[in-house]
Amino acid sequence: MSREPLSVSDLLLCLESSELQELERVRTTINQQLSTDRGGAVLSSLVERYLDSSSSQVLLLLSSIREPHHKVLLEKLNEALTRPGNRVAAITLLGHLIRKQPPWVHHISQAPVLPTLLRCLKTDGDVVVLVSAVLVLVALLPMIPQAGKQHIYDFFDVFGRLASWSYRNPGQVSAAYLVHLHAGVYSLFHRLYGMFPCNFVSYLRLHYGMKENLDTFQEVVKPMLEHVRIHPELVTGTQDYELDPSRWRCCEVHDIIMECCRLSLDPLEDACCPAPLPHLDLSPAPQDWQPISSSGSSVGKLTLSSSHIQANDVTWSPSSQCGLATPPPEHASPGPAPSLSRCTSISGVKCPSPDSVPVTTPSEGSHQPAGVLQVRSGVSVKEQLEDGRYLSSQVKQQPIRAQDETSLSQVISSDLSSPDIRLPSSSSQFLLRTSTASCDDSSTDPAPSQIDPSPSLPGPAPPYEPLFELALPHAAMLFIRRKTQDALESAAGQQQQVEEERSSMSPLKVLEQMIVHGSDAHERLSRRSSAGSRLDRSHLGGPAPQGEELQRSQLLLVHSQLQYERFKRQQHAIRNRRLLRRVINATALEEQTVAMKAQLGVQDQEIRSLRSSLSEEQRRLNQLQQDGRTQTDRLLEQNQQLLLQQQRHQQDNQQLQSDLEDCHGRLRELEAELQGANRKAKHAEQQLTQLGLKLCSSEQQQQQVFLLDQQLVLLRETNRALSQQLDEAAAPSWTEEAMLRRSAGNDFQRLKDCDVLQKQKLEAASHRIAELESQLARKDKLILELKKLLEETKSHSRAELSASESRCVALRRVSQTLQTEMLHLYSQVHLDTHTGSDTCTHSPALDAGSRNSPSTQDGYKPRPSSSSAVGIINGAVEALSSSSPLSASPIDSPLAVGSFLEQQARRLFGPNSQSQEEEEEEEEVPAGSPPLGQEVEEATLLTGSPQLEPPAPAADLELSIRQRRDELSIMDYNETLPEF
Amino acid sequence: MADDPQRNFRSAYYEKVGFRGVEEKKSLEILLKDNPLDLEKLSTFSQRFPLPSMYRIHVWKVLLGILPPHSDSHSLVGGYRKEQYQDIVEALEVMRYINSSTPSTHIYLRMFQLESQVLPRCSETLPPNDENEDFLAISRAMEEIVDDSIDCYWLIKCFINQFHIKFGDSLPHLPKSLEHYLSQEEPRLLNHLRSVGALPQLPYSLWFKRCFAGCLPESSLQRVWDKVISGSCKILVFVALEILLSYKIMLMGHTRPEGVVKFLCNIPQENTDAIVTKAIDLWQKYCGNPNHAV
Repeated sequence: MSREPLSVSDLLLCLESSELQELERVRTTINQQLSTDRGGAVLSSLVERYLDSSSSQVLLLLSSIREPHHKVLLEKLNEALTRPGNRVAAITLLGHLIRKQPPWVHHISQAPVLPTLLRCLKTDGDVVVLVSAVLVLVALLPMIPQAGKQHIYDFFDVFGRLASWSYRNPGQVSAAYLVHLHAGVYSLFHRLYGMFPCNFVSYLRLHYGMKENLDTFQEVVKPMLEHVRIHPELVTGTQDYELDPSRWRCCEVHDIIMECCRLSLDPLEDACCPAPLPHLDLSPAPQDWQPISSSGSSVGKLTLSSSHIQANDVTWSPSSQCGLATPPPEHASPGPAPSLSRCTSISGVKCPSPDSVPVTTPSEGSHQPAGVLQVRSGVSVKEQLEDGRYLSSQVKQQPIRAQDETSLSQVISSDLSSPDIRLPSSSSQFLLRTSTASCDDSSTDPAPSQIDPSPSLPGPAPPYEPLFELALPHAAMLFIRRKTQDALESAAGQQQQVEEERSSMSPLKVLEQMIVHGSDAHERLSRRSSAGSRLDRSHLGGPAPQGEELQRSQLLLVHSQLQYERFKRQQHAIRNRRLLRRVINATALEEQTVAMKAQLGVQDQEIRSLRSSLSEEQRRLNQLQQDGRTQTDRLLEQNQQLLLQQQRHQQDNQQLQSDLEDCHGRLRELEAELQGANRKAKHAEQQLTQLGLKLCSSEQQQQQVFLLDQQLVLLRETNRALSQQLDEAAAPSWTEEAMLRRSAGNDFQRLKDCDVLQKQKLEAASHRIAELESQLARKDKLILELKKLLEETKSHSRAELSASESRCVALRRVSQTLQTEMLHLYSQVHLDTHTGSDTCTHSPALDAGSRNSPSTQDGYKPRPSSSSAVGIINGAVEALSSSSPLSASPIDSPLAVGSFLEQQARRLFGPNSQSQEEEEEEEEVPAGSPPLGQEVEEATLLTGSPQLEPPAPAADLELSIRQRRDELSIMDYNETLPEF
Repeated sequence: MADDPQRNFRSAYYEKVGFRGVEEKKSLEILLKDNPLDLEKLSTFSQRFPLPSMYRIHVWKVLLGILPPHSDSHSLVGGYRKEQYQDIVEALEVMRYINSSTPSTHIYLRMFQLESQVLPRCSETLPPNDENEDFLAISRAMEEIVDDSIDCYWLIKCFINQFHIKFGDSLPHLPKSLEHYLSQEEPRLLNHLRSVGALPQLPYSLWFKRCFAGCLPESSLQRVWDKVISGSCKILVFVALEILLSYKIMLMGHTRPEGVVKFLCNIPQENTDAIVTKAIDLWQKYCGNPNHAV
């Protein structure tokens, strides 16, 4: 870093070298350093360098600054602006940068440079600074339209200050400066009015409503107001809407500039754009042309009427046909082509014919060609008008200038007398507007540049013209023609200058005049004195008190003015290029339309020819049809004749056929007759042969008869001999035989009868057998049924019986229980009667032992007895033997088991053994040791105490099992019936 | 029976779609129309199908032999039965075993004892032993099922008699068989019971001697008894098994045999129908054709 500033300054020094290669190398290194520059040291040194030397190389470098470095640059500029010494250079640099339109230009609105610039404009007293600053501001405004929001009143204040400054001239500067300043204020006025009309007008109203400013208004602002038309926004817009940034969003810089230009009536400010709308601008046109047309030819009337038509036709505009997107409609360039088509449509004459008119009459006069031109396009007329006005204003400026500078006015007046000088000046003005090439070189010395091209101007060829010629042949021709007419008219325009003297002088015009005449004077002076001292030139700036200093500053002013104009020209060039592209497009479309029309015509022609051929074909078809019809008729007639002939022939034919049939019939008859005759002949022949045969056989028969006769005779003889022999033999044997045979026959008969009889008997017997068998079967069935019935009945009755049996058993149980109970009660009664008995347990035992009182033991007895009985019944003694020792009782009478009586009887016997045993047992018990638990248990078991339950149910179960089994064995017939 | 033309041809499908017992009532009516009632068929029917409740008592009476197979003698035999009942009741009244305030189950018990000749003396009346308790439980259940006291007594008597005759021998084997089936159905439960020691203490007398009287509500009980009366005591095993399976989770929770026994003696009465249905299904599954199951 420590080395670099040195190197940068070195490099900057090297920049001034004249070697191109060296220059290029230095430039690239500086650019590299710029791109790597962090703190902006290189940049600031560059700026410093420029401020010191105003080097063009440094300017080139600075103008190529990229986005991130612009802040440093703007800061640096701001710094420089605050220093009064560097102010001019800084403003110049700023102007250069802005006119390059770098991409970061919109950042200026936020940068502090803008307020500083405005402050300079408000406070500075140096005219040079003011003029260049105001021009920078004017150039900057369309680029930062959104800045109006914040700084609008600053702008207005600047305007107000500069306007009053230019009027009152507090710095007492020379008039030449004031002219420049005035031009700058004028530009600012246009810009502000174009961009912010409402705000601006309200500001004007406010500011110049004050008494102290009234004179300024009268002298400065009012003439400016004469150069503008009323802004449409004044009608529709509001102050707030104007400041809205969105209003400018879709506008480019040149669009805004055009917008401003459109409102201007000043051709210089207005540039090549004749903004006024046709109907507005044409109103003075008839006024201007009225005398001419009345004095001139009939063509003038024609132009008038056509221009009127065009004036009335407000809705139509070339821009609408071209399809221009941006608001400012361009009337001049695209005009000719559509108007041409309109002319053709109006007049019905083809294009070439009016073209030929001006070609033949360019030198004739001043007005007639213009009229012809006006026939073609209203726009070109307008331009002519403006040119005319321009010329007149140029002429008119003379008195003003004369007031200001006496020495110059002489020159001017002398110049005005000769038309030769007028022509170049006007065309140089044209050059300013459109050309690009001629001005570029003159950046270093602006004053000669404006004047230098003037000698070469008689045949000026702006660089677009060849393009026009390429794109639009018609328009190019028109253009060239118009320009030559301009030259011619400029001479004629001088005649009108007196009449045209009504509008005030444009400051721009004044400035231009001043420059022009300055250069003329300079030229004359330099021609006059070849040695050309410095002081001689001082008259250019008037009295020239400061000499060279004054001249330099003036040069600066001119330079900045030039830069501004160049900027405007660039913008116009951009716009023109765009418009040209649209014109080309429109022309292409036009040509396409024409081609389509031609095609359409061709097709129409074709259709027409086809239609005619169609009609021809139809006619031929009709003829053919007629021919065909007549031929058909003829053929039909012929056909009928033929049909008649045919019918006749058919009749003949039929007749002939009937004849033929007759002949056939006769022939058949004849044939039949022939056949009959033949048959008869055949018959006769046959009869003849038969007769022959008969004759033969009769002859043979005769022979046979003869033979048989002989045999008969012989046989008769033999018979007679044999019968004689037979009569002689015997006859007695056959009677016995016949008797035997008869008896045999009788026997046979009798036997046959007998056989028949026997057969009948057999049949009867077999019948009987069958009968008997069926009877037997029936009986068997019956028996079976009976058996079944019996079984059923048996089971039925057995069921009933078992029920009743069970009931009986139950009754028996009941009675037994009752008896037991009764006995129990008896025993209690006995106990009561036997007083003083030892033990109650022994007494019943003893009682039971006696035979007389068996009932005492009945309480114990019945159960064992019954169980034993049951056991006996079932024959399953062994099952119970273990449980009851009494089962082996001697009384076994199966027959008597079922009956109650028998039971009773058995009970009578039963107690014997039982009681005996019990006695034995009971004897044993006392005899034994005092009762052990086991023995007591045994005893209780034996005595059948209530603990002795199991046997009883078991017995009962046995019984029921038995019953069940019996029930199930009903069908068993072989088994003996149960006991019950 | 399947060839009977009177049978509805749809009957084959009723069971498939889950309607049971549509045709059973009709076929039972046909069976009951036979004059000598076919006991074999009746018992087969009772084993295979649930009995309609309106015919249940009648079928039971026939199967238990209270009424003879011949319907002609029904009235006569009924008369005998009635007289017998009345005789015994009168005798008992005379002997003052019973009086008007004695509960009917005790009357039945005394009557049964009288008929079995095990009637204790009035003076020696002992507290009822196990057998008497079984009888009382069965009679209590039967009393709920049957309205008429004569029928009730006869049914009780014949039921108990037949049960003892037919299944007296197989009763001791039933716990073994229960263990067997439990090991097949739910071995974990069996292991649990075995490990806890509750297996020998299960209420076998309640299940197998009283035939679940007092354990199941009567509505479920009579379906079990249908099978018992028609000749199968295996059903008791399956009902017990199903009770164990149904309350498996509760049983698994008990670790003391007393708890298990206590719970099993007082099982909840809510879903006993389902238990019985499942038990019958299980029984039919294991014993195959219920015709031959004993």
